[in-house]
Amino acid sequence: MLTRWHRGGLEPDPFTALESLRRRMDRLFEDLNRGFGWQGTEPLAEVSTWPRVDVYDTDEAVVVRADLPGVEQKDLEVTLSEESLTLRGKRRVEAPPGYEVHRRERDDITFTRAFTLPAKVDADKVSAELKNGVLTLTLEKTEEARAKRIRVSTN
Amino acid sequence: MSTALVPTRKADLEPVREEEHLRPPVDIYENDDELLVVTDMPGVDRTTLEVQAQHGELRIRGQQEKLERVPRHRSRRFERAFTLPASVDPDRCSAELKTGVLHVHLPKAEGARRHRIEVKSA
Repeated sequence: MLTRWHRGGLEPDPFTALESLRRRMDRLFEDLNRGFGWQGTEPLAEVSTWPRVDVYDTDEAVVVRADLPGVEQKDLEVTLSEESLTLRGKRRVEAPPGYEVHRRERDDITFTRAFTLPAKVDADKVSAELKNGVLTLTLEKTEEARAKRIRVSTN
Repeated sequence: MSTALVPTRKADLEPVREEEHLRPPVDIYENDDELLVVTDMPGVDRTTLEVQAQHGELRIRGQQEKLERVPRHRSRRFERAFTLPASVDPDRCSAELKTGVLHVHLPKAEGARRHRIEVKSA
């Protein structure tokens, strides 16, 4: 079976509380080291919110990006109301038939995430694209909500 | 007295990093013929994906696509590494990417395959 690659070499199977404590200590040190380069290979963090979502506010649009690996288009629902955006869906993770499981870090998950938008957007000018497991929503702002450049005059 | 600017901390010597590193979650499966590694690589396409099986190590790297509409968007990078068991034949590895999920097939060397032994009753 595959053994986790680690700075210290190969690790035995984790089976004691001591091992778990040691790993948590390692993680603490990895966090400290992160600023100085790439070190370990454990998952970065136990992600409690899934999917990971970024919301960007540009002059003309609000851009929302969600990492949705393994989510099929039919299992995803995006709704927009006056000021909030909701993502709903599910991601199925199944062991392929006939295989034994050695490690299972990817979650089988049903999710709902809602966001308050930072600006008023035009509901008729929304584009949504699901590509390579990433959902990108571009929500054009209403004319009033767009940033306007103010000319500064000097005497 | 020197007039050169001296960084006060070691971290100040480094330029600001343009990208963020992530270690994606991984599932590992095995059957009689191969090991199968499945990992989440959202936003990574074939051009920015790197899968290496050499020197006894499997290393997977990927870079997410940048957002065109966001100025100065910082894309994230994924990386995981595993020690390869000797039973895997690194020359016959293959990988496929679908809906942001990467599957890496690591076939076992001929001698390392599991053979079913038939038990006969007397």
